[in-house]
Formats: sequence, C-alpha cells, structure tokens
Amino acid sequence: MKYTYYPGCSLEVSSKSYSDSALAVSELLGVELIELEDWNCCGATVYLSYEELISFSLCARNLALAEKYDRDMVVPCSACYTSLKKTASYIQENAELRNKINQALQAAGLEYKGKVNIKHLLEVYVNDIGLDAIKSKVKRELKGLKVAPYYGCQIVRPLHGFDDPENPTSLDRLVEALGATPVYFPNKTSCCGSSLVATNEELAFRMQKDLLLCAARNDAEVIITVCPLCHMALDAYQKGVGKMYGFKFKIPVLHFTQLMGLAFEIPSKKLGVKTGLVPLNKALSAYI
Amino acid sequence: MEPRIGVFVCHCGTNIAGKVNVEEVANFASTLPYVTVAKEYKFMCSDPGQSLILEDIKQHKLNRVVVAACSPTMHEPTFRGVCQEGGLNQYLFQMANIREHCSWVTEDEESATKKAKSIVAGAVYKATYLEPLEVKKVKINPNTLVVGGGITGIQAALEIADSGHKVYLVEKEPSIGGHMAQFDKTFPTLDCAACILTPKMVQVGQHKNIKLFTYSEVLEVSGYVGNFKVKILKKARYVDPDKCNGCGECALKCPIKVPSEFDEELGMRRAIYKPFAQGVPNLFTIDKEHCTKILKDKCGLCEKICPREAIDYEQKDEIIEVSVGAIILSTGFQIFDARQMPQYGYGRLDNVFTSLEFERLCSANGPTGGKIVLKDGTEPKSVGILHCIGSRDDRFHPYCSRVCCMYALKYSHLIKEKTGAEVYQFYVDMRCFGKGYEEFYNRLLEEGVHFVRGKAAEVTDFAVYKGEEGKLIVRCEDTAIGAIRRIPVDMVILANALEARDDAKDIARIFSINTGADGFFIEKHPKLAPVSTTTDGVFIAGCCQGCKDIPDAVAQGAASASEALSLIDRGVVEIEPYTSVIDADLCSGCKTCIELCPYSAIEFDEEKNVSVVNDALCKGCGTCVAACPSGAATARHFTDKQIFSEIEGVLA
Amino acid sequence: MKDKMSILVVDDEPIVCDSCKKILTEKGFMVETALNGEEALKKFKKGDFDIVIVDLKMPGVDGMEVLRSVKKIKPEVDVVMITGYGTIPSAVEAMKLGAVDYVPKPFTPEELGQIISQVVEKRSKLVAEKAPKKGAILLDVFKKPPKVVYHPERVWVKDIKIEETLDENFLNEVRSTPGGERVIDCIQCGTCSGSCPLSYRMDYTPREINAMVRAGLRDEVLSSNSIWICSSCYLCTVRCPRQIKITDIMYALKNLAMKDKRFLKKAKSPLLSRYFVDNVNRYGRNHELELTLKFFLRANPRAILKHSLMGLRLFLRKRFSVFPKRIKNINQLRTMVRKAEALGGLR
Repeated sequence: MKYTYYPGCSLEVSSKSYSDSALAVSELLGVELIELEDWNCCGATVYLSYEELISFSLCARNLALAEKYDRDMVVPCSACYTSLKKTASYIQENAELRNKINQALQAAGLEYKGKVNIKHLLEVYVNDIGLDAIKSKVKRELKGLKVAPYYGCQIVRPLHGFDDPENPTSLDRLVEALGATPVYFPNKTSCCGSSLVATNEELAFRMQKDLLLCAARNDAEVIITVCPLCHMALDAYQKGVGKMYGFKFKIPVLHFTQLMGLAFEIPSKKLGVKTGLVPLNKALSAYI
Repeated sequence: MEPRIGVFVCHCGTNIAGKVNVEEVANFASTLPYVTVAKEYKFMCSDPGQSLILEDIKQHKLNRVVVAACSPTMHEPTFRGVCQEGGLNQYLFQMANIREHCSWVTEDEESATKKAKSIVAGAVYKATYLEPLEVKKVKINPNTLVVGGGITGIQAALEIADSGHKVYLVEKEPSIGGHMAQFDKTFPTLDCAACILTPKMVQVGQHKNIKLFTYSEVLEVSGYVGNFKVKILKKARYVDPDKCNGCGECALKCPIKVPSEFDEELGMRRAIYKPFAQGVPNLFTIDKEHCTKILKDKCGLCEKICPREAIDYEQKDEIIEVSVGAIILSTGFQIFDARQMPQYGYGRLDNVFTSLEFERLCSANGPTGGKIVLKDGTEPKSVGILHCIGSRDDRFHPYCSRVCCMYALKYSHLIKEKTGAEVYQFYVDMRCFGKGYEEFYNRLLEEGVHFVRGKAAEVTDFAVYKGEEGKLIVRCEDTAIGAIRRIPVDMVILANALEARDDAKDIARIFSINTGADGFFIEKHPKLAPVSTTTDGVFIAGCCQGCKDIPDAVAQGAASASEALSLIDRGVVEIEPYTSVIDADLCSGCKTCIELCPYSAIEFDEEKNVSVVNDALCKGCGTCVAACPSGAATARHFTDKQIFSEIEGVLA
Repeated sequence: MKDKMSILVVDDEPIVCDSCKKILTEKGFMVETALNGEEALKKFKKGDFDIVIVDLKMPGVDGMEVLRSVKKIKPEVDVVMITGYGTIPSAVEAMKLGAVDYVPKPFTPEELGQIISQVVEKRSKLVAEKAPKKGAILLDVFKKPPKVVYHPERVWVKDIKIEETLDENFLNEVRSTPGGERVIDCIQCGTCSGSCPLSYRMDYTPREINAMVRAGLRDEVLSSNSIWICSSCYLCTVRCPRQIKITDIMYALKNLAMKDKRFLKKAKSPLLSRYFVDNVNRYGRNHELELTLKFFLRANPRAILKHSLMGLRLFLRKRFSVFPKRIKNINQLRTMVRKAEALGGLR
C-alpha cells in the first residue's frame, strides 16, 4: 500500500527517531511511505493564533501538492494531522474560506480541489493494515510489559474520524497485539500542555505531572505516544516536572512505532530508542 | 353551470399580513378566471370572517369558495361548515395555504406576496373543476384498544371501562405497571408510588369491562376510524393462566438466575418469574430465552413442583383478532444509554448509577430492600447527581426531559433521609414548573443539599488532591462562583434523558401515525388537539408523545379516554369521500390495480370482467390511479383534471 | 524629554512621603514631597513635574482637589492616586476625572515601582507613536519582526457596564469566523470550562468568554489571559452540548487581539507566535533551535541557562540542528502568504 507521507517539522530533527521508526515499521508491514516533495510547515497552533487565513493557506499548499497523487496522506504528528484535517474540512464547509484560500493558492500557481484524504499513522496501522497483520509480524512478544497508551488530544479531537474522542481504544488494541499489556490510564486523552511549555511552564508542568503520576500509579513501565509534541513534553521535560513535584520515579517514553519495532525485532539503533532523555529501564532493556 | 368563485384572503393577524401584501393578493385573485368576488379580512376563521363568506355566497351566488389562509389541517373543517351553511356542497371548497407554506417560511416580502399569488391561483384553478361529493357515514364499534399498561394506559382504560364500554388493554411485559411500578416515591408530595399505583393495577385486573392481554404485542391494524381490526400476538408464557394462582413455588425452585429487567439488572430473577411481587396479573411466566427445559429439554423442575399443574411447556404463541372503534397508544419511553457519554464513566466506573437504577436501589421491593448502598454494600457518605445527561444536548436530545430536576430533588431528599450523606446537584437550570414543585425545591435548599450550578464535565477516579483517594471525582465549573471545582463523592447518579422507545417507529407504522424529529409520536395539534393524531380514531397519551411527569401523563390518559368516548358515543362517523373509482367502461380487466392496492380495497367482478373499488376500504392513496394503463381509475377530489388545472394555475 | 523624570509625592503621613521618595529616587526619578494639598499645589506651580502621586484622603485640600487643579493647570501630567481601605469607589471617581492609576495602601516598594514604570512606559509610548487604529491589520510578515509593544495592564475597576460602551459588532466579528458561528447558541452550562484543563487559571472561563462575546465586552475579552492560556486540546469543543466550537472561537479572539496590539499584555504566547510566523515565512518550515533561542532571549533569558543542559542533551542525541532547512520553492509559499495577507484575513 502506498501513501503520501507528511512528516512535519518535528520529525525532521527533534523527533527524528519517530520518523525513522515509522519508516522501518511501515516497510516491514508493506506500507510504502513516499514523502511529499517540498512540504511546508502546517502552521500548528502557533501560526493559527496569529492569522487563521494564512495558517489555513499553509495547510492548503500541502494539500494541493498532495492532490497530484492518487494516494491517501499519512501524518504521524497529531498537531499536523489536526491542522491539515481541519483545513480540509473547513474548505469543504465554508464557502467564503474556500474562496479566499483558493485565491491565495492561485496566486502561487496552485489549486486544491478538496480530494485529499488525511490519515494519522496509527489509523493506517490499525484500520488499513489491521491488527491481525501486525500480530503476524511480531517476532518477539512484549509479554508482561506494562504500557501506558497515551493518545493526547489532537489525534481524536476535534474531528474524531477513526476513534472515540473520549475513550479511544485503537492504541490499547495495538499494544495488546504486540503481546504487551495496556495499563489502566484514565487520562489517556488529556492534553500534555506542550503548546504552553515555552510560554507558561508552570501550567504545562502541572498537566504533565498528572499524566506521569497516573502512569506511575498504574505501574506503567513505558509510556507510548502518537505525537512528537507529547513525546517531547513527557520525555524531555520529565526531569523538570519530577524536580518540581518531587517524583522519585522515571518512566521512559517511546513513540508507538518504536514499541512496534521492538516487537518486530528491528534493530534498536534503527529505531532510535535510546535518543530519549529518560533512560530506558530494566523492563524495556530486556527487548533491546 | 358556470363556476362562480369567491376568494377570501386572510391576514391571520400579522402571521400572513406581516409578510404578504394581502390586498395585492386579493386584487390579483379578482382578475383570475371565474372569480366573482375577492376579499381580504383580518381573521377569516372568526365569526365576522365566516359571516362575510356566508353573505357573499348568497349575494354573489357563489358556487365555489377558496380561502387563502392557514393549513387545511387547521381550518378546512371550519370553512367547509360555512359552505354547507351557505347551501353549498362542502367539497366545493378549496383551501390555499399561504401561512405555513408561504409567509412563515419566506424572508422577503415581495417574494412572499408573489408566492401567495401562485398558491391562490393554483387553488382557484383547481376549484373550477371541483365536484360535489357525498360523505359516507359508518357505524362505530364501541370497543377501545389501549396499548401500553403504564400509569397512562391504566388511567385511560379505567376511565373508559368505568363508563360501561369495553377495553382491550395490551401490555408487552408480563405485568402492567410500567415505569411507575419501578419508582419508590413520587415528587413533590413524596407519596409512595406503589401505594397509589397498585390499587389501580388491581382494579384493571378485576374490571369486568377490561380484557387484559399481558406479555402481548399488537402485530397489525387494519380498517379505519370506528372500525379497526387489530391482530394481537399473545406470547406463550408456558403457564396456564386459568390454573396458576401465583403462589411462586416454581420460582423458588427454578435453578436459572437471570439479571432482572425490572430491577435494572441490579438484582436477579429466575427463568420462571413474575417481574415484581405486586404484578398484575398474578401469574408466572417462563422466559424461553433462558429456560433450560425449553432450550435443551433439561430440568423441568417447575412442572414437578407446581401444585396446580399450571406449567405447560407445549404452550404456543396465539394470535387474537379484536374489533375496536378507537385506539389509545400509551407506549411510554425508555431512558438514554449513558454509555454514549464515556466521560461520565457509566458502565466503566463502579458506583455510577442511572436514574432508574437508583429508583430500584431506593425502592422497598428492590434488590437491596430499599437500602441505598454502593456496589461493595457500604452506605455512601456523599452523592453527586448529574443533571441533563443526554438531554438539552444537540448531539443526543435537544429537548429538556422535564422530570429530571424534580426527581433529582426527590433523590436528594431520600438520600438525606436514609443515609444522611452530603448531596451535590450539578445542574444547568432548575426547572420546577409544576404545582408545588418550586416549594419542593425550597424545601431541599433548607435540607442542606449543595446546589452547584454547572453541568458536570466528567467523572474520574484519578485522584490528585487530598480527600480524593478512592472516590469518584466530579469535575465542573461552578458557574455561580465562577470557579472550577473537583468534588469527590462516593456515588454518582446520572439523570439520563427520557427518550422515545427504540420501537417507536415500528409502532407508528403499525398505527399509521408519525414520529417527530425527537422520535416521539406527533399529536395533531400541540395545543388544541394534544392527544389526537392525524389518523382519526387513534389517540396518544403519556410519554410516548413527549417527556412528562406522572400528573401530566395521567391527565393525558384521561383526556385520551374522553376523546375516545366522545367518538364512540357519536355512534356514527363521517368518512371523507376521497376514494378511487374505476370507470367500468374504460377498465380492461388487467388487474394491475388489484396487485398494487396496499389496502386490498379492489375486487374483481368476474361477471363484468372489471375491477371494482370497495369504498369502505379504499384510503384514496391514488396508487391505482397512477398505475392504471387505460386511465380508468380516478381519485375523487384529486382528479387528473383538477390537479393539472391546479398546476396550470400555480405556473400562470 | 528630560533625562530624568520628576515626581511630586503628596501625603499627610511623613512616613509615606519619605518611603516613596526613597523607592523612587532609587529608580532614578527626581522626587519632591508635600505633606498637604496647599503645599503640593504651590510646589507644583513652581516646579516642572511629570507625575504627581497624591493621597486621596487628606485634611484640607484633599487628593481629589489636587487632581482637579493639576489637570486644569497641566493636563499632560499623570496623576496617580494613593487610596486607603474603603476609598476604592473614590479612586474610581478619580480615574474618571483623569487620574491614570491608583495604588491601594498599604503597598510594597515593588508595587509602587511597577505602577510608576507602567505610567512611564505609557508616557514614552504616547510620545513615540500614535496609537494603532482599531481593527487595522498589522501584518508585515517579511520585515524583521517588530518589537511587540506591551501596554501596561489595564486596571479593570468593577463598575456598572454601560450599554453605550459595549461593542455591538464584537459578536459579528466572532461569528464571521469559521467555527465561531454558534457562539449565540450557548446555554451557559459550563461544560466547556469544567472540561478545560486550564480554565482555573483564566481571567474568564470559556463559558464567560462566550457570554462576554455576546454582550459586546470586546476590550475585556481581548485583553484577558484566557485566550492565551487555551492549549488547543479541543475537549471543550467535543463536549459542548450545543456543539459550539469553543477552541475555534479562542483562535478567532487570538487573531483579533494580535491585530489590535493594544490588547497584548505581558503574555508570552503572542511573542512566540510572532517568532514562529517569522520562522515559517523565512524557511517554509520551523527551525526549532532558532525559534527557541530567539524566543527565550527576549521573553526569558534566564530560561536559556536553565534549559541549556536539556538542550545539550538533545543536541548530543542529534535532536537539534544548527542550520535551518529551507524548502525549495520558498518563493511560491511567500507569494501565497502575501496574497492571503492582502485578502485581509478572515474578517
């Protein structure tokens, strides 16, 4: 199966291991990810705060570029996924917006007809490939590994296409398919606060504290994420959060594709599992 | 005789005149062919309005009348009466709807006036070809069918039976009583539900004029007002009703335990059971889905134990046909499945209860004997009641369920009385509109209930702060103080919306009535005909028509009984003569119409080799008219000529 | 302008006069004091003061009278009132008469310093440039990011909301944005605010913002911290029983506040947005290192030190690149952005 791949800015550098592991796992599953040529930033929440029309246009440029190919577009970053999906749906719904965006695109010699189907990487694995196919590729079951499946916000909201916005289960089911155990994690769709981490650290840390605490209380040995920003929030800032709230524990955070890669016995170096700031613990090291 | 048409344009106050230039419409009408006189008036349906028409009929020797006003369902009968009084056949009247079809739904005045003219022209052109018709008079069967044995149906059945008329009462469950039988106390007076309901149930069971069909469903209805034929499926209960005396020996011995529907699955019943001790009729029923004797031919204990040899595993479903003149539907409601809102934790977190579950917990004949306890058997020290779950919510039910505020108050009182726990109500607006309701609210304020104005956002078991460990935490904005709160409680009760039953659409189809966007049955007029439907002779009452409390449901039950009795006591009913007629000269005898007629109203005359319409059965749907290859079939009052002329008028 | 501003402090308590003098002299102001109204006005007429700080309650010629006279003689002089317990209503009255701000007694040196520096900032701002036109679009995306000018926080003194002062058009501004249409459908149930993980820290909760948009309280909404605290998690949006897209409304409000810069308080989010926009317009993608450095240098230089270890650890794991990557067809993107900008945004 072929997809147009939109990695997004974070996966280029700071979360390169997410991209690396996604490409490796996809290859194994027979998913061909063809990177969209000359893609640009989706604008994220930050550009949208500044000027919505320009921000929507930035997304529209990507959609216009992707429309040249008759393939679904797959996005591993939840923030990019929501930006692109929201733009696509507003272009459909709102005539005035559509008109203005088209004018902006036209000025740049582009056109978007509204045909691109946008999917999150998790959606592609769970729905298009299927858990049975994934199970069949598992070489080393992650037996007994307690995993906190963290969805975050923007993968299921606001346009909940493929899972419930309050109580999603696709990641839990994927964890089970890998032989691991998803722990009880009632905060699984709470916001990680990453958009506030630079501007209001105190508030962001308080949100991250709740997530880490909930994972620890339910004996999670690893937290997996589906978004580079969630990963950054829980991994890179974990030390700071721990210091502020006096935590005695450390929980490694992996991109969900890294966990899949471990179960598929893809070399851990290729997956970049050691690029996180929180060191791997015993439970995880057993699989490396 | 040349047509002489009078056109009367109504202002309907500002309802029409606010958007449509009625004077212009009347002037326009006077230019149309055969129009002898055209006038406008403020309220045509009023006395002076009617006299105006009457005088013009006489003065201008009118032989056709067109009134441009509201919907014909509203005032067609009124103006037909005027025509009759003026000596005209009532079918020489034509209504043009320039209110619902025009002024109410058009923004711009100019286009509204233009549209009104088209509608009036259509009506005038049609009126040109109207023909006098005679109404049919049919005798009315004096019996009534009541469907649904909740408090509404019970009330309706008793009212009719007490007047000396026969009632067939059909109930789906093994006992009558409905939801009210599940309740503990009733608001605002706090009288015990069972104490006021069970005597009525017993009366129904013993009444000589009531024939009770429990564990039964209506399969099919045919006929028309005054003369309905009803097929009732009487499901096999594998117990001989003549022998069983309800002693209950069987249920004591039955080894199969099933979650009790009546107890909202908080308690167990046996495979042979009576839903609750006070059930009427006093009969046991075998649930064939679970009985091993019926499923696998194993066990048979109940048969051995029954002292009256009432068990009959061979019993079969029966279909019974009855004839009635009127039908009352009181099929009730169901409650919203709170699993659709995972944020409140129902089905996931222990100790999150629905409203009906709490009723059973609280009820003396419930699974805990009336003790309010958590799943672990201990008493709660604090309880949160969450209002508007699934109500006032565009994603589920936009309407207000009307009873939740009040039963939430009732629960608060009962919790305080029985456990002394702290009670928190999370509400959006307190709606205490009924008699004595606001006073009840005031009483609860004094009893120390915490009223938190804000809809609960979520219920979680993730404790963050001191005092939250092991509790359910309700998170909300307390909008009265403008702060976000986390309130830890032991028990959460969800005030789920009342909603139309899943099978409401099927029931509506069987009885040829309609359901609205909210899923409930639609009444004929929301104010003036609240228990009638667009199908003559079929009435609706209680929660199948919309959410209501017990006083309102009982009032509607009685109202529907009075409507039914008024119909029955008329003795005869007039039937609209909008039937099809087949011209024997043109009919080629192909029988196409006979195959297609949905009411089996067409018979074949072998002798003359032509199809013949049975007037009593024909509903005037027009299927045969459209299908007839030789153009022999005509629908009275909707002839091709009339319809084409009407179209011509609209387009003129 | 003189290189030192001069301030006259008037209070009948010598200790207040003295401590004010001490605090403000340390901050580089020329300070004179007066112990009553008469003396103050005499000194004022003689001297050349920029700011007068005056106690409201004094025997004889009171603060209010001093205010009136000062404003009569030299309207451009800023007057700050000192108020004691129970005189807040008079302070409000004073603000209406032209006082620029007030300090409630007792106050700390920091509080006094803050208020005075706000007054000073505002004075220099007024001289430097005219106030931006309301509603004007100030997007100049290809120039160097302009300094985001912060205005002193407004002191919202609770008072009757006068119909005359409400902005009728505010609701339409919000409703004309995709997602903002349904703001009029709010039933004030509070589900949004109860769901929001951050509403507890907002000046106004999302529910209140909805009500304020409808009521036309434009200035209060756009200068509130609520819109910048929203982390865009969309929980309010998916839970709203009236299906109001509250997160989108927050974006619309952020856009409005951005365009009308007088609403940007010392929130850091607008600054981050500004740098991010610059980054994307320049490269087509976000260069994380550049954004982070630029932002922290301006917003919070100390944080750079604090986060340097984390940065180093990320760098060692090759999670920071020094050089930005520019997309190939950056000119195409810029043409598009320019066109979108020329279209005047969404409203």
